[in-house]
Amino acid sequence: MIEIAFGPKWFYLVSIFIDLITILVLFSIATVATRYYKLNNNKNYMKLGFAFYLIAASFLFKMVTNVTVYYESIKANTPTGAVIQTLEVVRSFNILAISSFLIFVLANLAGLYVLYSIKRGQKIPTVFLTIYFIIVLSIVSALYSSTLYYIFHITSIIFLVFIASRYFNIYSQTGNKNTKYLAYGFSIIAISQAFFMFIALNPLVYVIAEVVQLVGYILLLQVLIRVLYHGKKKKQTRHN
Amino acid sequence: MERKRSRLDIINDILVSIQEKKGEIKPTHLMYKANLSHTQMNNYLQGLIEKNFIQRTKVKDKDFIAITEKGHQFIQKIREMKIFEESFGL
Repeated sequence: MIEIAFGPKWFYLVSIFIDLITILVLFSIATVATRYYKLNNNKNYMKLGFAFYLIAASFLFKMVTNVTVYYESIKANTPTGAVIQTLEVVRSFNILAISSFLIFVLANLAGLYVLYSIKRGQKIPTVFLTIYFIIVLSIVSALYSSTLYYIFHITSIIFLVFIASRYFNIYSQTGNKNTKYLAYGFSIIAISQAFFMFIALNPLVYVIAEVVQLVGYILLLQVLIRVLYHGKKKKQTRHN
Repeated sequence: MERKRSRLDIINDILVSIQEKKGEIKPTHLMYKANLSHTQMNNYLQGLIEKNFIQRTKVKDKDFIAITEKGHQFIQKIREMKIFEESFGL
């Protein structure tokens, strides 16, 4: 049976709030990329927008999982007369939690894959990762077991390391500070995935992983803010 | 070898040329600054006037092309897009 790992109970609500911030960051980047795609029809913008929408959607499902488990934990602590009815509710919540977690995993990996597949300065052959991605998706869909959690985070780390190294590579060529922040952002998100793998040791590791992941996404938000800020250059007019 | 300018690049060059001349420019100056033929320039100007990015004006009986607020906003959007493109390596 599949297992979904969570942090301490006091962190449930904070975790939902962190997910909400992450969704807003990802959705903002996706919206801006889509807006630019409409302007110049460059397919890379569309891919980038699609990737960030997918990852944002994945976090939405993660939030659903968290809300479900949080609600279930409250229900479990509440004394109730109708035992059978309560059990049925818990069971249906479990199905909802597991389904939304599976969608989170699939959408997140698909988003990272699309992000990786945007070509420019790529040294690692795409074919290799494509095959790996297909294998992982097959395992995730078929296995439906507790190992899913680890497969998901290992795969995320692989994609994130490749994405970060691509941005470091572009930064070394262009010296663009925004690209450097993107590289740092994705590296930090990769580190957070490593933390997620060790939450069995201590529930506090989950807290650290969530906070580290949030720092990574805030760095991505910083890049977006810098892009929009530097785009606003004072205009000159004769009649001003 | 320099890549061929896209339609968006040309529109940006036209608008920036006008903006750099403090918002107003003579059509002949624009033609040279934006590196366009007479026919090309007229085609682009027509489109930009229809989109309300620029307007034709007259100063002391001389023809000028002036950038509108919408034109300024469009330049800003393209500038943002280019910074975004460089940052995300697109």
